[in-house]
Amino acid sequence: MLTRWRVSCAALMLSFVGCGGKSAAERVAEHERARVSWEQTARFVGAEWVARAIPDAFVARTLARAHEELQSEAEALRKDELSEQQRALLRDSLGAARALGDSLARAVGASDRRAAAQLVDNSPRANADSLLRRAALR
Amino acid sequence: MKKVLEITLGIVTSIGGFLEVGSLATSVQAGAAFGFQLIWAIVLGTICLIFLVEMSGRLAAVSKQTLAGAMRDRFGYPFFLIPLVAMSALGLLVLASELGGLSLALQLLTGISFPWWAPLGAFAAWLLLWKGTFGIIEKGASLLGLITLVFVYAAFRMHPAWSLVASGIRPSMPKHESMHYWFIAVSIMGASIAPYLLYFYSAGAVEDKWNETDVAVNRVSATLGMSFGGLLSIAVLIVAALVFVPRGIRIERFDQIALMLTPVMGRAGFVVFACALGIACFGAMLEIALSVAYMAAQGFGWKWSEDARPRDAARFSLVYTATLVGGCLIVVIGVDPLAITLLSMALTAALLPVAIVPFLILMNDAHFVGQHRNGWFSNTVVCAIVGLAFVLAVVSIPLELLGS
Amino acid sequence: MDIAVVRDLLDKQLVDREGEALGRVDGIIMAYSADAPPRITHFELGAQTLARRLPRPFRGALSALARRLTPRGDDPYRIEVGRIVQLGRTIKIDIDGTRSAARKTELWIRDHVIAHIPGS
Repeated sequence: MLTRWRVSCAALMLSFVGCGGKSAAERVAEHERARVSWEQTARFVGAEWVARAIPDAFVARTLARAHEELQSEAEALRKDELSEQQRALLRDSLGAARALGDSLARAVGASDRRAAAQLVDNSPRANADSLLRRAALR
Repeated sequence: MKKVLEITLGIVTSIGGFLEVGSLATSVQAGAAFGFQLIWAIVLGTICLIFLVEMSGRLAAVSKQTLAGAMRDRFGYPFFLIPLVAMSALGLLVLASELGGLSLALQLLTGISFPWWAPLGAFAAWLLLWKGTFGIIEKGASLLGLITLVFVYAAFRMHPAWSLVASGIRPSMPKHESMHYWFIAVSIMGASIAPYLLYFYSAGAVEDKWNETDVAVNRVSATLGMSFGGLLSIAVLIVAALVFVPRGIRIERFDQIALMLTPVMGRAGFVVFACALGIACFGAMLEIALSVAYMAAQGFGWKWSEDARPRDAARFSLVYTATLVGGCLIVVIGVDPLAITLLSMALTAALLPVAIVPFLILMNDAHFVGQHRNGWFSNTVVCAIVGLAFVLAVVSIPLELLGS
Repeated sequence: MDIAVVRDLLDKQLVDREGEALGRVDGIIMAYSADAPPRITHFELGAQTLARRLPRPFRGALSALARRLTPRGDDPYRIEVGRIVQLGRTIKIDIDGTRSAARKTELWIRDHVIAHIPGS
């Protein structure tokens, strides 16, 4: 009776752990999502700063935060069990994202709106429109 | 005519006081992560809240007792300790998250860094409670809170596909990140069904000396007021969806939320957002501190009037002071404000039965509410929604914590 | 009029002559004697009374806490039931609340904590 109880509990626990665990594809997707999120946050604040919609202090802080978060992402990526190919791809895009954030931070520090505009000019707004159409929220 | 004025005032104060950091943060998270898909959670939570707020007013009007007092009366001590301890601990956490929101708002407006605003904000709230009267606090905070209507304006300006918005009202299964979906759904419900609001509302009703003739007015103003309030939350979700989804931005830090209104309103949007956040959080802080003090004072039989001078209601004043200090300490320690907000909202949902089941029993007890007992419909709706929230919370909170 | 002790007396709000809050009925004291039926003699208020109503494991902790937090001499305060003026939603007692020892804790906190804060 007790053994049956123990076995049921163990099965229940395992099912929870099973639910919590993620496949490699899911983990890759998560890394991607985090990278895109912070890269786009950096672009967003950059674009709004160019349009003079937000104060310098806020941009600087947000870009610093983006830098930190992308750094933690890199750490998490290092520790994750992925194929070398997947890891290399993700690492490269992370690097590009960090580079963008850092360049933007420098431009903001130098109050160089033109440089910032060029950096964000991979058109978050144009991307946004096409993404909008795809997301079909409008 | 006077009734119409009363109803209108009731509705206006409900709208102005509705949004606070919990409903803001959860709605924004929902919109950014799942588009319009989670609107149903806001709808369910708001419906439940409407029933509960109306019940809270009805209890006060008919029994002339506050919710906490009636609970001690009906269930006695030591049972009363269970909701008291649970709601006080929860109140402290939620207060800390509101203070975090206020601090962020001040930081956005001034550019000066975060931790210093918490003690100042807590002190300002304390000062208002120490010196102010109930009427000023309730009406002042709520009227100022009408600034949150800017989210409705922004939602319309962004031209969402309204048919898609409408489809979000129907509950649907998530297409990705299921655990996160349900966790946010639970947090939304916890944010909508705020138990502290019920204690606050009933205390206000008793302090305003409501009687049986106010029951009908209360029904109308609670229903309309909370409904409009719910629409506010939905507006926040819509704006978040339209701003963050196309950009692929997931909300993980408070700062990211500050960008919500700039696409629509430019620089003004940034400032208005900060003001709206700050005012909403400040108002909520006052209500929560008072609610915790009300529960203790009414439960133990102390004098508890907010209109009285502090020295005439010493223990009551001490409790709200201690609550504000406690909340401030939590923020100053440096716990991440967004994390604390989402967690406290989810915990609220998990602890709802502790607050609501005794309440429902009271509302069906003729000894307290006479012929104004709950109908089967109210009982069913509240039980169903609270039950759902509880089950979802118990399942999703551990999994979210494990996963993150 | 039928009075149910638990429903109508225990945990009820007590108010003084002026209707000001005195506390709640935390305990009920009854007198037994060999030749008379048991009768209620006093209401009891206080943290010690509340501590005794807790389940055994918690009693000690709350009792110690209560002893720490209440002013010295705050033994459970008793009110004779003869002083009841009115029974209803609240129980009105023929006492001048401003001078009653029932408010000892309240007054202590007022004088030692609240009074030191400006603007009270």
